[in-house]
Amino acid sequence: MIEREEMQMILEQYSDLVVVSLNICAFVLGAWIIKVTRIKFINAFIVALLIVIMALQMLKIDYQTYAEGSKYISFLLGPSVVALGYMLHKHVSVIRRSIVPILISVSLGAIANILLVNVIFLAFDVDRSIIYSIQPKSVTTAIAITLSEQNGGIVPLTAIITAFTGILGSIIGPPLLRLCRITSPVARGLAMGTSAHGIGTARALELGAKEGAVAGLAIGLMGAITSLMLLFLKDFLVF
Amino acid sequence: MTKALIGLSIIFAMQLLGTLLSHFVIPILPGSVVGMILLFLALQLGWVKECHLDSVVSFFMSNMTIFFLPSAVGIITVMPLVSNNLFAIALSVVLSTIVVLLGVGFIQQYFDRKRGDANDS
Repeated sequence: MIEREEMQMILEQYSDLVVVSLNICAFVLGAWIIKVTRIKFINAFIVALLIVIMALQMLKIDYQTYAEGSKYISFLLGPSVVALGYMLHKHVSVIRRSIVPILISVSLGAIANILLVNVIFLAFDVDRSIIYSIQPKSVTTAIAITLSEQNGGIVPLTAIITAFTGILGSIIGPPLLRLCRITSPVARGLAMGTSAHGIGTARALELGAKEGAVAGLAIGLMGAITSLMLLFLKDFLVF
Repeated sequence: MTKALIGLSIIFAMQLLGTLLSHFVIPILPGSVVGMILLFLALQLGWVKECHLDSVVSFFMSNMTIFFLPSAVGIITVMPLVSNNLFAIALSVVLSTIVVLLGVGFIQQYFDRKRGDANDS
């Protein structure tokens, strides 16, 4: 039987290992819960997030210790973003002949997204850091949180909002597109990938192979184009 | 094993190169995003072979979600600021997601129709 104090000591001494294990186990458990319950409005990521927060409370691990140990996991975000370049390459060959219209559509989408967020927050008079956190929300999370950090946003808020944006887009996307009579496979895939990044792409794949490929391409494009547009538009209309 | 290592070294080399470029030349884009563009260009130009990257990329792509779990847990440190602005946040997320979805859909469909391949699937 391990004494309580001894357990606390072990937690402190091996905190990095404990934290890394906690992250991975929480994620596996989250994925399993979603698989079993088939809940649609949250995903494994959100469940894992709740599990980690509860576990930190129960094990009395402070946030500083958690953040310290988690850097071994967060470090892999950078290479994941680079790996998206490969996906871009894979998909660009599928639709090479319509690349110019696609670039125009995604650019307009990126601009509309940033401006709309600015307008809404202008009406509510909120802290600027919140605006910067929400602007990249339609971009794939790895890039979104990089942009949020660079522009002075609140990184955790961006991570969560991006996940919810993906879930929302993947749920309302197909029925809304059908309702508005958007039937072209390229248009549907592009709309899903641009508005709802990876989660929308997974849903687009269920609509069809072409939709999926175009959505996959849209993830990387939206990431690169939003990065650029934020340079010019992040403070547009604000003040 | 060797292929995965080659792929991994390509990825990290691109990230390092992108980070250096971002640091010294174009500080406007994050290093990893520059790395993504560099990898894309290297593949397009045939400097890097797809087969070296297949397994590594598939690992990163299928497990990416867990890499940003720690970033999200930080929400416990900013909870008051977020809950005070919850309505504005929710409204902007819902509205802009719908506008981007339909906007991109309509514009792209217009282009597709103009080229006469709306039903080409």
